[in-house]
Amino acid sequence: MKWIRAILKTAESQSTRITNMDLHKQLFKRQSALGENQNTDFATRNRLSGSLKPLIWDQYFEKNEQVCLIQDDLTVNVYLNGSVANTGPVYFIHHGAGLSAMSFGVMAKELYKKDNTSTVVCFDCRGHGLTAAADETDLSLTRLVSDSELLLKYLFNDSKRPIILVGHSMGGAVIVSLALSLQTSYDIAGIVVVDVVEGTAINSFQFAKSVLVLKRKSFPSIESAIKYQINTGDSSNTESACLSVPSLLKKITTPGKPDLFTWRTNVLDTSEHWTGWYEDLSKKFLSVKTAKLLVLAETDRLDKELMIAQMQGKFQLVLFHGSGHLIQENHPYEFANKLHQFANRNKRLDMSTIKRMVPLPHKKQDS
Amino acid sequence: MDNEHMETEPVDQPSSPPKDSFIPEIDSSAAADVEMKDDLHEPSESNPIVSADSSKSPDSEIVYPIAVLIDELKHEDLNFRLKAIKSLQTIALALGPQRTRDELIPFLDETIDDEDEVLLALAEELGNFVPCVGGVEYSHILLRPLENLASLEETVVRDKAVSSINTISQSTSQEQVENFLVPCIARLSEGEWFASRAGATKLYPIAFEKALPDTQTLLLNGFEKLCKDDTPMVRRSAAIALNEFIKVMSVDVVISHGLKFASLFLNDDQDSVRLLILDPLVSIAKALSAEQNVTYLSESLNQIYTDKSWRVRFVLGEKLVELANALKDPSLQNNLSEVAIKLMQDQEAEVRGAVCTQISGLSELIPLEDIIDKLLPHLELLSEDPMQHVRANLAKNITSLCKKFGPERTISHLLPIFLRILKDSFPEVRLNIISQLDQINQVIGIDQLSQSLLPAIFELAEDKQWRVRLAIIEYVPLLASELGVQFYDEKLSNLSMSWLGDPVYSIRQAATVNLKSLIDIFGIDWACKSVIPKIMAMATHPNYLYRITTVFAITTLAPSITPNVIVELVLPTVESLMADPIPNIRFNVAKSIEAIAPVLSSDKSTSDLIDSRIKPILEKLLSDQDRDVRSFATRAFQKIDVASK
Amino acid sequence: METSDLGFELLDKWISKLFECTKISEAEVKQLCEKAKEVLMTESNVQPVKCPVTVCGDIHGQFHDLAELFKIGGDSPDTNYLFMGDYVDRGYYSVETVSLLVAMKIRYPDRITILRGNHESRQITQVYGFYDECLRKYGNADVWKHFTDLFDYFPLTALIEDQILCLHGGLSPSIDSLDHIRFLDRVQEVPHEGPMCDLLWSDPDDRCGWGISPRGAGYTFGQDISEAFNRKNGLSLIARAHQLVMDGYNWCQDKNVVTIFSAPNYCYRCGNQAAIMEIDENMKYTFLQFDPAPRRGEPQVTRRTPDYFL
Repeated sequence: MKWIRAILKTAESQSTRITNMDLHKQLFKRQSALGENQNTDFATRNRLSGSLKPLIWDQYFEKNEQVCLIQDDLTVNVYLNGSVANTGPVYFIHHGAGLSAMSFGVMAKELYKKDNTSTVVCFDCRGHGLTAAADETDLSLTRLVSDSELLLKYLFNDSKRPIILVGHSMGGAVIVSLALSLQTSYDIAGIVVVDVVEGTAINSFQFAKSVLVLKRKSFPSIESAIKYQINTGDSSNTESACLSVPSLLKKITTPGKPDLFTWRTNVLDTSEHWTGWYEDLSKKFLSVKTAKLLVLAETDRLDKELMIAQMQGKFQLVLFHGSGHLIQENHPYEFANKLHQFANRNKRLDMSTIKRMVPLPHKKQDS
Repeated sequence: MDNEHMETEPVDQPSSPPKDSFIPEIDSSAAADVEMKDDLHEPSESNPIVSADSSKSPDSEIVYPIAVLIDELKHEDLNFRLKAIKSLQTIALALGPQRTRDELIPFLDETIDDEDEVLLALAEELGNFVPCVGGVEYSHILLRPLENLASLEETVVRDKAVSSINTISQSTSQEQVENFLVPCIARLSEGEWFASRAGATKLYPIAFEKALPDTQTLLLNGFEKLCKDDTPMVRRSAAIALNEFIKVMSVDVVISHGLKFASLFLNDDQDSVRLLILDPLVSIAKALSAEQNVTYLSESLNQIYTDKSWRVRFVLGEKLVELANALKDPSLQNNLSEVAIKLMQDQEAEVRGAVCTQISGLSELIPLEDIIDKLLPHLELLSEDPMQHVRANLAKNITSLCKKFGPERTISHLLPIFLRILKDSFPEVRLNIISQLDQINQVIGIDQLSQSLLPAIFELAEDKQWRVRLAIIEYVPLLASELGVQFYDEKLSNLSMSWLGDPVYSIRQAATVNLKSLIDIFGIDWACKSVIPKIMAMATHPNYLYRITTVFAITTLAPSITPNVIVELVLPTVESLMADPIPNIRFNVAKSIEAIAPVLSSDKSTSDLIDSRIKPILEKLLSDQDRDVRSFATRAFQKIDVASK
Repeated sequence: METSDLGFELLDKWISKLFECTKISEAEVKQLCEKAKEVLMTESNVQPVKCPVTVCGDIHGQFHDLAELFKIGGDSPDTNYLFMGDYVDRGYYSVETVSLLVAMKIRYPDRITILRGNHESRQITQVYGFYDECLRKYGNADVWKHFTDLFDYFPLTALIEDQILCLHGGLSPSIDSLDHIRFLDRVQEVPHEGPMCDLLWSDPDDRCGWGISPRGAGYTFGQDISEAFNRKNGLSLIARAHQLVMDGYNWCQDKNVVTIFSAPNYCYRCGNQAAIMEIDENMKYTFLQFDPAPRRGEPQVTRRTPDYFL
């Protein structure tokens, strides 16, 4: 009964607003957090003296490769830090829907700086960025998982190296399935899922469409798209926005008219796959036999299944409060730090490094 | 920024309502007046408050708080800004009405562009600002800043601003309404951004109530436009506002306009709009006569009875009786009882649950034979509904039928359903009907009740849910008083004693209270025979939590026992427990003495015992090694001393 | 005498106010925490506790369920209690919950023992809600500061009749005797690693030996570890909290370890039962399970749904 009242109440004022003051305050808090973000942006922008110049990949990655995986069918645009012949951990990173490899660019550079024995792999998935595919529209989970599996196997064929799979949002769903399929043949040392939880994601679909419809469609310049991304509050880190946003755009040239920039990927068109991405994600995430890290922007994004699992200590949860959905872009340095710590912590346990306490005999008698 | 917008983007850039846009139908001369007056206050060239320089100002001690205010309103910390808003009245008081009107209000209007929480506080403060601007005759000054707040996207701020305008307008004159409120409504209604139009809807009723007849017509036209607004949010606001609007309309206007507005909403393609129409419909039905209801509402009602959306049917289910009473006409009411039966079979559990809440009201409306023939079969089905909350709702409401049914029919028709509900697998369902046992009892009498329901109640006395057990315990004294001592000793005694040993503390507590009530009913002789010895026997239980129950029982029962019984049956136990190894028992002994002592000292034959038996106990406890025992003993000692003096 | 500067009368007033789920003022919290610091400072890292006592696990700000716990187990001071940490975060009433327990502790230091949980920490409370709640209820962070400063003094473990070790999390590879625990310098923020962190973060596991905890702090320990620890220290049982268990309590590691969790329907959505463990004067234990208290006027749990997750 209670929930139905809540629905009816919701109907009165389209957005989910509850008349309870506590919740209002929470609401305000979120908005004030957003406000602060905007303020900081403003400060950053001022510091950069208004510069929102696009940034180029080569400041963040050592290498860019086009990997042809299926003849005439799929050529993946890959960025690498560290040679594939390195011996440290492999970070294999999958971005979210409507984003690109550059979403992790700033983070990837920082991460590699922390461990130059590692290899950090970011790539544009099918239908995104500079990856070319005969079928740009098949963004089903199965397809995305098999694309990433092909790429990973191509890059690290015989490798016994520990692999850490990282995925943001839709990419999180992909890497969880990827881990399940690879865990017998590769050393999956950890999975990292960024800001996606099955129950909450599925609930958000009803709003997602309206949010996406309202998203601005075109821009007179790349800078104005960057500015838009910052003004909407999606991005709070100018460096990330200047690197990431340009890779999300494509130029439209019409004779006699000024050039226009529109989004490379129309996320709305992918809606048929949304449910498929996230169904059973919580169950699958928990069933992967490796160290697990879930990175979220708010604690109340956990669904029941993950809440119970978290409270039973089945995985590590890291929160970036009020960061917004683009956590890795908005907090790239802290994110790299957490990722590095996670990888380090979950290396094989070495008991010899643990300090054992030796009680002082005379003190012992005192107590 | 603007030149980048090449596409129309209705949502990104909410444009503030243009000052010069009016609803064309409304005579703009009054509004133009406002515009001119407002110009006088426009602090465009220089803002007197901001530019106030303390050295030039004659009353610098007043400027100072304003300077602080300005500082605080610009403070980075949200809390400072909030505090500043909350102290506005104080500042206005310091400024006096004139300067508040001329400087503070325009300043607030101009400079505040803050987070919603601050704006919310401002909207609230402004609602209480009438005395600060010089009383009702100047209250329209406040409309300007509130109007801006009433057009914001954030619902909470908007609603607060609208409610502040409504508060202020309660006491304004017709002239003020005509000259200021109506133009304000006009501007909001014409706003490009949906929020301002949604805000406007709720201002129509008060304006309509106070406006001149010509303006009333304009307002009706303006409202109609909002009822047809493209944005569902605006239509929803209008549907909600319609309820208040109807209440200030004359019958003629209800018929000419109210019905039209209602039918617009009834035919809305959004169910979230349609479900809001029930309240206005009730108000319309109340305003019209029974005959008029038949003439004007029949069609609309049939439409809503068969709405495709379960959410609409849910609201209908919750308001059936209210609607029926408002309709007055017997044939319409009869129709509605048919609807009730249909809703009881609705495929949505929520709808079925909602109708259950109406059983009591329905029983007043429907003749008994019809209830038995038509309603009852469906109630029986609902008692086996697959959804537990439907059954819970039924259990809570079905006993209201007893009165109408009378004893015989209650037993023949309703008891079988009650029995089934008492055995429901879901504790809340069982609890709901137990809490209504009294209602059944009043109709069929305790004899009947005990015959037919007691077996079921006995089962519940051992329910897994302790709250169900508790509900039964609380019912025992009533049963006992009605059924007499013999029945109790045979059927209820063991049960009552077993509760004293319940694993749940609250049940043990309730059990002692229950025994006290029973002693009050059956008398002290009865208590000495069975109850008290059994309680005292528990003092040897190996677990302190059960021994402590004995002490609690002594404390609880003491006022109901005679001094002699205390001396003979209770005091020996107290004396043995004062040496209990567990401190918790010992300090509860001290507490129980606070209850025993007054009883003993109340009788001459036992008052000596205070010194000879009671004080020695406390003296021993005063030197206890446990500090809590010492502390409670001290307290008891003091109480006894005070009492003896 | 025992509480010279804070009279029983005042404390009783606060306690009855808090029992109504009404918070006490900021100044009162300050007083409360100062006094509590004095009381807790005298307690050991391995605080000895006598039986009978009722042992409870996580509460997490679910005030009404704490009230239900007292309805089941009995009121303080009539029943002795030992709480194993995690009073704050997640639920809506962390402030009232922790204020009440601390006030009870000062009023009846011998009747109630409160240990430190991993949520009794500055860092964790900033992420999981207690900080925000203080800010919301008092308008500033001072109350949060008073409490988190106080948390540093909470004992880490308790030892019932030299037989049952009670602590929030579990064992540490750095520690193999109770004396090791006694020598820790506990008055500090919970560290990220090391023995003190482990005591508050570790979990038992089905696998033998020590393991990396999936939580990101502490370790997992197998039955071999807990058996060896109990044998070496003459213990019969380790009672701990920290993990949600659907029945409210859960035996593991061949009854060397028991988990007790006292927040029913955790976070208002997990559907679990809660439990407490009553230990009587003969060291016999009984578990009492309970369900969430019926809720009146508590905010509905409606989560904000974020814009999108794609």
